[in-house]
Amino acid sequence: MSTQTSVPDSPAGPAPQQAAAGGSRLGAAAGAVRRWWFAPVPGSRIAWVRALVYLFVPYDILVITQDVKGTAALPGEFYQPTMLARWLHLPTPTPGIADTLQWVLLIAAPLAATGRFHRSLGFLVAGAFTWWQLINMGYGKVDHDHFALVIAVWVLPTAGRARFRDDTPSEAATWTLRCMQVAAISTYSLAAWAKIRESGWGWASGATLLWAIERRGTPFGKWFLDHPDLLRLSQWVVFFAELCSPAILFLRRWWLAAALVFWLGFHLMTWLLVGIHFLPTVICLTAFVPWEKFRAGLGGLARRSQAAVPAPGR
Amino acid sequence: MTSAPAPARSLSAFQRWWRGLAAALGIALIVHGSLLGNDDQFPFAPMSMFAFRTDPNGNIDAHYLEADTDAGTRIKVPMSRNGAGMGRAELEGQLLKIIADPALLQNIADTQRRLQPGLPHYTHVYVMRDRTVLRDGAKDHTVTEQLADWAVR
Repeated sequence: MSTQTSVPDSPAGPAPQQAAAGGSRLGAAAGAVRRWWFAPVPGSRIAWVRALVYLFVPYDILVITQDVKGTAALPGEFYQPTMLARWLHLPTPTPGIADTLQWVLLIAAPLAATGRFHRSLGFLVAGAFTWWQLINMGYGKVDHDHFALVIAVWVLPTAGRARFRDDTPSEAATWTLRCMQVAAISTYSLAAWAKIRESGWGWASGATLLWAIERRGTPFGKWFLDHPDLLRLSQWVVFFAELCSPAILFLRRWWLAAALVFWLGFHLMTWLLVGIHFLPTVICLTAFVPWEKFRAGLGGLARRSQAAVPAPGR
Repeated sequence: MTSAPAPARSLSAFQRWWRGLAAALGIALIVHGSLLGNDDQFPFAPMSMFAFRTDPNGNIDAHYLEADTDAGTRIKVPMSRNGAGMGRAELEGQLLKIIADPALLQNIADTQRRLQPGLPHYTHVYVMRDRTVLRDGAKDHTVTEQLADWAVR
């Protein structure tokens, strides 16, 4: 597409001196992309996110996707394997396969949460969890709440050793966290695209939320059935927020915090209205959090309260 | 633990290279899945939950299973692993297949018998539909219909 084929494709090197003005602009852009993916962040963030994700996995398979055990007991005619499952020649699910995967995950994921053998245990969890999800999505319905989590379990084992109290900056940590962020934000932004693709720009003026509440609404949600205008307004807000969501990848500090609080509020509302919580995506939003600052804040608070004991009167 | 900041843990050119490639490939897959793909490409499938538009003057259909039991009762089959072994979404995903061949409902009864040996067994299984008719984006009335049934062998 571009005529500037002379620009070398070297992600790690500086922009070439001899490049023309356009070339150096391209080089600057490449540098910005490289910094975005690799500028080191405190490695302790990985320790936090790793613990949260791997402790979430048992909850996911025991509560959120527990139906896998039942569907695996159904006769094979009901199994409609998705492309990846066919490609990998995964066998038709049986109760034995589901039990084995569940036990592997129940043992390996909490161990991986400790950060020990992070690579081997991490990839074991990644493989078993992905298989579990392929069974979960293999009976006629595919959800998109698990996309970011499936990506997370594959990128976490590459982040290297990490400890809660070790803030040594790490480039591998940045890449892992960025992958999780992109996956979580894709879940939102591509949901807006899916609405446009499937329903055109008129999605927000329809009655989809009413449909969801009528079919599976909570008692709280059913109250909104008498307020269809409020439901339509909510659809516009959600659609707009999904369209704008990629901006979150470039926000900092309070703006970032505000955006995350908005999405947490969104998930809380859908849970209260129709019992859909998207926790597997929410858990990946933890990749945005500067966890080391919380520890510093807590430590500072503890030191101040200790200092306040011997010298109470300022 | 020292208080001096440690030097950053850097990646080699190769380690960056494969990570960059993997990220580009992942983004390409999910964007392709969303632009042109379908559910079959999970995990790189379109984010299409609730992407359909419900016509404010259309219908809202909810499908479920009912069953006569050998205890002489007619019950709503619990749509979970302990009832039908499948959820409502799975039922609706397979609906056309089941209506074309109601014998598939035999499996539901067999699964229930296996999962709940202590509870009354199904003797007849029905596929039911509640259709809520909308007017100007609000509920108007609801019609219940039977779409298929199967006498359990």
